[in-house]
Amino acid sequence: MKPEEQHLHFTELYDRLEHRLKRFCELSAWDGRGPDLLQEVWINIWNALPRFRGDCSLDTWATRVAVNSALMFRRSEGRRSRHTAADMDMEKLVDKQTAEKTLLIDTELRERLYACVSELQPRDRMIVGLHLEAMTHRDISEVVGVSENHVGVLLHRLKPVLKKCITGEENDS
Amino acid sequence: MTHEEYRDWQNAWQENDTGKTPTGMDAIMSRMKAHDQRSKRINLAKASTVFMLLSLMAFQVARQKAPLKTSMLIGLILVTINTVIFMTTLFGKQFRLKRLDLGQPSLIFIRQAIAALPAEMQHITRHLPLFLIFQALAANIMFIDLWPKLAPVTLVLIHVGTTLFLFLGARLGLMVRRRIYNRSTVPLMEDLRQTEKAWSRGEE
Repeated sequence: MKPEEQHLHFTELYDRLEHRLKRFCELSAWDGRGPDLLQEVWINIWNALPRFRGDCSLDTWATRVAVNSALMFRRSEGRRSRHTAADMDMEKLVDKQTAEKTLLIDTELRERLYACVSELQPRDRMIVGLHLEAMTHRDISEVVGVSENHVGVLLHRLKPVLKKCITGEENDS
Repeated sequence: MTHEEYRDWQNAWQENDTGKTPTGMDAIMSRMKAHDQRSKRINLAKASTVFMLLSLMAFQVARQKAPLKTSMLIGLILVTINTVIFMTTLFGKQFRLKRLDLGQPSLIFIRQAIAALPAEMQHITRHLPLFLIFQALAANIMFIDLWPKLAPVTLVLIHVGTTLFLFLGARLGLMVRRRIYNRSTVPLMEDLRQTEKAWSRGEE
């Protein structure tokens, strides 16, 4: 890939995915480190662009890079901090992230949705996060590398959990 | 849960357009350049350190007025070959991790990462003892004829001291490495294994 081509693809991706990836990174990174992860994601996208083979759409490919960067992000987090997932006080974390979001989220539903998604396991958060971005089961299956049916199964399992958290009611589905 | 209900969630989620992003395209590009330059500086520093050490050794040998002794030459060759082999294979393992294709489907990526992550530490624990033995051997060979006028007891102390220094230094280095590994890589690998298990459960 020529440098001009790389720059062009990167600019297009940035225009299209800027907000999606920012939301994804804020959701996936621990302890308000979303901006650090976001920066790493864009750097990785830039560096990996010459290796894009075109076996999926550019958006799907960039989302794969974001998901895989988020999966590996804990390595650098571990180097900088002694905290592990188990050590984290989840309640404080959600409170902090929610507080950081207060300026951005102005409706109760969004607030509850964000808090409830944040309470999920990181791996489940990623799947739900992608689906909330209106990515189809097929898109998610291409990103994660499992079948469409399996994505459906995962989401089917997670949606009632989310609903229960958001509405505060017992699951009826 | 109805489709409409979920659609409301999706809309609510996406309406959060994250506000004005603090990082525009220009800022991202300049950060990437900074990151690129930082990587280059780190690589340059590593290469310079190795080069300086080898140059220093060569300089020390060249400034000797007496002709180069065979023991010194053998020791130097052994140190150089041993270091080059150990370091290049170690860099190879580190490079393998850096070259992981982030554009692959995540499940494939996770499996490759789980295989690549412990490779560096495994290499060190497996090959460090042999590397140390050869380094100690080389250092002791170099010292054989270096101080012919010293008393035998002093010479033995120099040999023992050098060998102990090498082994203790390596032990300390290994402890630090293992600590970093246990803090950053082990939890990550456990996390990746759990994710792999959760995402592929029911797939087969």
